[in-house]
Amino acid sequence: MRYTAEIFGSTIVAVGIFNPAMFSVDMLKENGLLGTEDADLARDQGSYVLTRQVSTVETEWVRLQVLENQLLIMSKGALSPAVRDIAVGILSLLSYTNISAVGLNFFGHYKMSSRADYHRVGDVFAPKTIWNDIFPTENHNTGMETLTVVVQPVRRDETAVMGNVKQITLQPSKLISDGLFLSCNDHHVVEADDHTKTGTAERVARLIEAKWEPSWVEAGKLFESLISKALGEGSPC
Amino acid sequence: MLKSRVALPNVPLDGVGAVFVTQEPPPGVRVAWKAREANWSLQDVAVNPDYEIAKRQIPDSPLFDVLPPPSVFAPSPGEIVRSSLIQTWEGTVVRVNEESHAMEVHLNAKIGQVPEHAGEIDLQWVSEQDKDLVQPGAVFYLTLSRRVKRGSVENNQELRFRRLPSWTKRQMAQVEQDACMLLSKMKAKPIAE
Repeated sequence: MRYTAEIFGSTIVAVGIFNPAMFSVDMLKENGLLGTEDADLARDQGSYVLTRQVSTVETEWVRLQVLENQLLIMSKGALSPAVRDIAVGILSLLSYTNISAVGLNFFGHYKMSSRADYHRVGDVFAPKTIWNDIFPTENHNTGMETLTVVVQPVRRDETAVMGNVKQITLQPSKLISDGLFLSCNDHHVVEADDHTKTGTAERVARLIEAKWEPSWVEAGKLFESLISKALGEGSPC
Repeated sequence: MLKSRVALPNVPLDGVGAVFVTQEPPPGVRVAWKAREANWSLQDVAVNPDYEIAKRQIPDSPLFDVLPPPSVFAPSPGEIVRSSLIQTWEGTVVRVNEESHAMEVHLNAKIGQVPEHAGEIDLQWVSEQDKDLVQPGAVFYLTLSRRVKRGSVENNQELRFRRLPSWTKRQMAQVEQDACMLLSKMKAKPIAE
């Protein structure tokens, strides 16, 4: 069975040193990253904030939040590569900015076909045998609230050189009844380049350009695969 | 009154790291915050419909008193839109036909194994803000989705052109410099006798 997310989105988060005050709607428009209609809409949003500590810009399809140490771009509505493009565009403008890490994050809310399936997924990833021994089912109900698994690209007996990891989180969906929420954080550490003496933002822009879409495909397959395997259906792919 | 910026203790910043930011809000605007740690998940940040729900989820946080009430990441319940993606195509404009008011395009589906195909899209589907981007070679995204908003289901189609930053004066100067260097290295091809 193929599972389709009722809601699927992405956030791109960069950690570094930023000047939130420069991220105005006008700056984004003047640099060609927002169209006139999007810019007008973003200016009229109650969420438009532009200060030295934080700035937020929101259109119908994307939200941008910049703090002094973090830049976050979040998709709204149906996901499209336009989210990647605006991230790449913004970082391309910050060529002298140093970024130490970037997260390519995807999340999905999946509706289960029945409450039994919903519980089955939770029971597979967090078996209740031990819990039910301690909290008898006669007067207790135990359930999984959140589960995060970290995946490093090394064998267990090896030490990871870089901090590149994937963090996969499973929770009950707060938006869909009998639904699962799955998220995948594809975390990349960015090392400063001592030779060029320029910032790493340009390099991060290229990384996002190259890896965001494969990461999207991988996350979608991963989420479906986790659900299918938990329900004993084998791989959907 | 809201206080100055507060950082969570013992919480390392990572790709989706935790930051609490509070500040004096300018008149008429709300204050932004984002909190992932202290039991906040990406899901909470993305979908929590209001401050009260958020408050219940971190009842004992000593930092909570300095958090500002509304979040820019907290849409009101009526604003929450469920969008189930049906297909996204990445398209390239091949030719613009002014007479038929349409553009000939190549479309690459992003979901599933669908072969590339060609098509024609009427320019009426291009938003006003993207009209000046319609030219051969331009990239756009055509997204089909099923939206559930305030209880009603609708099919939704979105056409959005790729936007890249304008070239800076420095980049233009660099291109010119590179072009001059290339030109200086070029020699006329000898004519065979």
